[in-house]
Amino acid sequence: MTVRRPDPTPPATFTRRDFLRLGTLAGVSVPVLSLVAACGETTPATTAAAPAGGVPAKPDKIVVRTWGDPWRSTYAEGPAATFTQKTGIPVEFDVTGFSEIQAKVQQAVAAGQRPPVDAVLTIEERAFAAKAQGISVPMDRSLLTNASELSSVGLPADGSTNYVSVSTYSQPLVYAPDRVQLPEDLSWEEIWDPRYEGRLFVTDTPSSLMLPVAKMLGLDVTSDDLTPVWDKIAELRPNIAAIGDEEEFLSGIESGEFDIGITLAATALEAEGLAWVTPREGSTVSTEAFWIPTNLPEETTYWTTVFVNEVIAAENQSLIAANLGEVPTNLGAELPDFMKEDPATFPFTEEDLERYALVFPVEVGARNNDAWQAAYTAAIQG
Amino acid sequence: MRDRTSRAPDVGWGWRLLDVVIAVRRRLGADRLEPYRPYLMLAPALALVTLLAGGIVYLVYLSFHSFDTFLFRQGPWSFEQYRRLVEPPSGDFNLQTLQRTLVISLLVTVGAVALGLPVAYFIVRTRSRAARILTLVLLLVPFLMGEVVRAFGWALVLGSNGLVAWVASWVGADSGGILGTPLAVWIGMMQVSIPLATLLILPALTRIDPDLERAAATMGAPPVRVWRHVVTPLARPGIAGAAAVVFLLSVAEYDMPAILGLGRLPFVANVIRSIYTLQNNLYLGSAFSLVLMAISTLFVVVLVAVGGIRNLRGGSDG
Amino acid sequence: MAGATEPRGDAAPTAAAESRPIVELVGAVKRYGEVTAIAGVDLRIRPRELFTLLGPSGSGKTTILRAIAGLVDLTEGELYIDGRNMADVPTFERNIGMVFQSLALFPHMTVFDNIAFPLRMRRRPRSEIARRVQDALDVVRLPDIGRRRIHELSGGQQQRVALARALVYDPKLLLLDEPLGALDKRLREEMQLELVRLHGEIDVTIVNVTHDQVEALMLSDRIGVMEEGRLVQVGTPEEIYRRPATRFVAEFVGRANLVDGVGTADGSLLRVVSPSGVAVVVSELPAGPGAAHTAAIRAELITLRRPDERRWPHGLEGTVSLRVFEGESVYYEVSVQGLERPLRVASRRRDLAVGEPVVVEWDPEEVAVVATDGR
Repeated sequence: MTVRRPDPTPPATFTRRDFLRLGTLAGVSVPVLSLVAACGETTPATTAAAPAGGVPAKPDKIVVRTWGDPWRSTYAEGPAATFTQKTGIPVEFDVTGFSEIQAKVQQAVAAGQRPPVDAVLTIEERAFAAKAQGISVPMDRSLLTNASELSSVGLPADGSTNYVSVSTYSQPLVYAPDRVQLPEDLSWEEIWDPRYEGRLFVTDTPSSLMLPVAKMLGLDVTSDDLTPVWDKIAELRPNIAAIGDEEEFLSGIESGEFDIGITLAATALEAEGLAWVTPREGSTVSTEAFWIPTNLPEETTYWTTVFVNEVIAAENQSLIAANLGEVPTNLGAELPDFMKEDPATFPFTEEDLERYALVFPVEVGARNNDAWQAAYTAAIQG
Repeated sequence: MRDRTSRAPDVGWGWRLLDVVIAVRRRLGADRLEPYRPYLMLAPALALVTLLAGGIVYLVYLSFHSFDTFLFRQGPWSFEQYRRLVEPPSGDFNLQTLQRTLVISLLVTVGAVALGLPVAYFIVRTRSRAARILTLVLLLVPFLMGEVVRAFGWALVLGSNGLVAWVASWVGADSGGILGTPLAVWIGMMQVSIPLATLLILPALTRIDPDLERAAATMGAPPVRVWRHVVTPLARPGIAGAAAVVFLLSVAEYDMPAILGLGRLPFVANVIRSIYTLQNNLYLGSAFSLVLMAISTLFVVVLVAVGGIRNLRGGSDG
Repeated sequence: MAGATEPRGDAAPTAAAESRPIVELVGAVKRYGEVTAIAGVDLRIRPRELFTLLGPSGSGKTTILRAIAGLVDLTEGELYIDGRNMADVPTFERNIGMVFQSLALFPHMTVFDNIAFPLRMRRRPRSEIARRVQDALDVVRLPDIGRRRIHELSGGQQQRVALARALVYDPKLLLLDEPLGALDKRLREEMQLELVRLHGEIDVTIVNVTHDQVEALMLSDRIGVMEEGRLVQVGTPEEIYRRPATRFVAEFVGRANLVDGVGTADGSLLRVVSPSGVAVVVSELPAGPGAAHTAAIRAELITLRRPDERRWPHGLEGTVSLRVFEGESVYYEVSVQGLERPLRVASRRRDLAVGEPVVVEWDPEEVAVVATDGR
């Protein structure tokens, strides 16, 4: 089972995680100084509304930030193609790292200049932060004609339109079935079992484990003291063989350093002979979202909103599901078979989401990212 | 002298040119700059150091401010970052990381110097030119590949399906490889540290007159004591320098702990990366960077005091 | 080989009662790849003598010294010290003193620590070390410099410290690898006398290496002359000087005028006659009449006369071509018809001027004659 990846252009091996890494390293540090100056003054969010006189003029092009391939190629093949076909406006892609692009937009907005890109694809948490940081605009609801088909995770929970979630991914247990047998019906508690000593991989970010553990312990991450969660995670240490990102998971499980890991289901699709299972508490589900920066010409904001609407069109969402292994947010999209067969790992319908998904609480998560990350790092690496 | 040479037209022209240069220098008072020339030659290095110092001042500035990572907004002057470094939930973990970093770095330093010294000695003393060149080339090989490539190479050797595990199982030992152990990180770091130490010790050994060792032997010193009383003390400035460089590079190591430690044995640099990129907190990262820098500096100061870099002067006067 | 010439030295009347040699080399060969440093050397050095290996640079003399010290392993042959085969004895167990050309003083130690080094290697008690170092400093007449660092000393002082360090543990054998080479003339002469004095005071055998024939003649009980890895002659300074065994020795030691030719006997009158017809009267022809010989007439043993003062019919006639005042003597060069190079003469006479015709006379007994067939 592998995800089809059309157009393996040169950076095809460069995964999202690479950009994450490169982008943040370079991106975070550079613009801080200007931010220091900029902080404090909140840029008033300008609502992008269709001018009274009807459809505004068309820009020469719009520039969209995505991750490298397969994201870029998938978005080029799908929404960009249909958008250009309908409007005649070409779409250009920018694959700057997601932290760096956020910083660049912040920098440009602070300096009163036009941001370098017209739309940003990022993780929902960052899209939420962009709104809080005052660098994104609410999109004109009337232009998001496909929004009515979105599931509950499609638009921000606060009722705003500052970003639109276009796909979701979950983090189940991925394992090598030839080396380890997992029970059919299992709880996350299973991986604390001593028979998995030194056989487990966990991510270096907290979201994958903290929600399942909180659920096991009956805690609410948005309101309760999470000390028991971190303590429980720390107890997992004897079983942990390695800590890292998706790539490190893939190389490690292939070379036999560990047999089970918590990682993206899509990652499991990249290697031969891996299986995955979502324990009965459910897996963490996170989303990817588009947001539009402030300080853009009105017509650009208008047409970019039209592009975002294309991204959530059912046909393009089907392509995203097939190519990226991520679950579409448009309920009218067609799912590939492996998703249909496993609703626990790929929750799609409202019912699936309700039943299986531990949806990452984006606002609390964004606000507490620093603290949670610090606590998690200390818990697993200590 | 000048009269004689000036008869040859081209040479005379050269002398006249030199006269002009000297006259111009005199008029400009360039001679007065002469005593300062050593300092002038330092100018590019000083510029670079100033730039670095500027960076460090900036880090200091950041580390003493509070910071809201969510709003990406700097707060007032504060000890918050340093407090966070030592308080729960990160305090114990950070201390442990610092300890691990320093201990493994020290072991790497000791190992690299202990193994590099004989290699350097061999290069300096071998009669065979071929052996000398071959050894030097072999020493440079690790530098030809990137750190990450080397790390993954070692991961293959030390991993569950690697050479080490295979040999271990062959002799009947139960082993899943040694990846993810401090030993693996140490080995990975040694690969580049030994050649580095060797190359840094080399010049100090080259300056030792081989007659000193022969003389010591005639006076009744067996090889071990020749080493202890003659070679090592005379190589001390080189050894101290090598130790300082290897230690400083080790303390800042990132890739080997990340890859060969399987993420479970982070060094300070790994934690700083995590703070920068995952916590998005440049301010807290700055604070940790500065703490590490202060401790490393202290170490080098002690090393210089004990190792006697002051011996760099005078050693060859004898 | 060297052996052929050695009996001349050993037969000398100065030879002490033939006791067991302290150093004995038998068929010693040392090769570095293609290069042969010593090519079959047999040598016996007697207890208490000051023996000098004399030769130009590259003749193998230093290699022999280092072989004795164990710093060089022989390719072939045996080395005995005090009757014991040294094949498996490392340098540090040989109990020999050695002064290197570079002196090899330890720059990181004080004078005291340098001299104490061999005693510490022998794990002597602290009080004994202090006493013996002081004694050694007294012997080399530098009683008050123990605390100084090496680089604070003058060249001459360093020389004495090196000597003190090599003697402090009373080795039976002291090896000197041209330690005086780097000194200026005055200091060198001073140190040479110092060595002779020390050798008289201390019970030690000294093996000295030098390319300075004056030093060799001045210091040595016996001299071994080296040429291209071979020991070509061993003998007392006088024997080496007066009876060189080979043309090389005759040329290397002292200031000699060499005349190559064929030996002729005219009754009792023996001569070496050069191809150009110059005839040198000699007292012996070792290879017999008709064989090739070289006559070596020492510059110091030539008498210069004006033609009207002539006393001997066999003198050579020539013209003064150079006159250099040397203090106690005057150095002349005398051009003689038929000789490629002018004769070199060291004479007490000062009254001869350049261009003056002179007659060169000598005592045939003082002329060394070497058979040179094949050379």
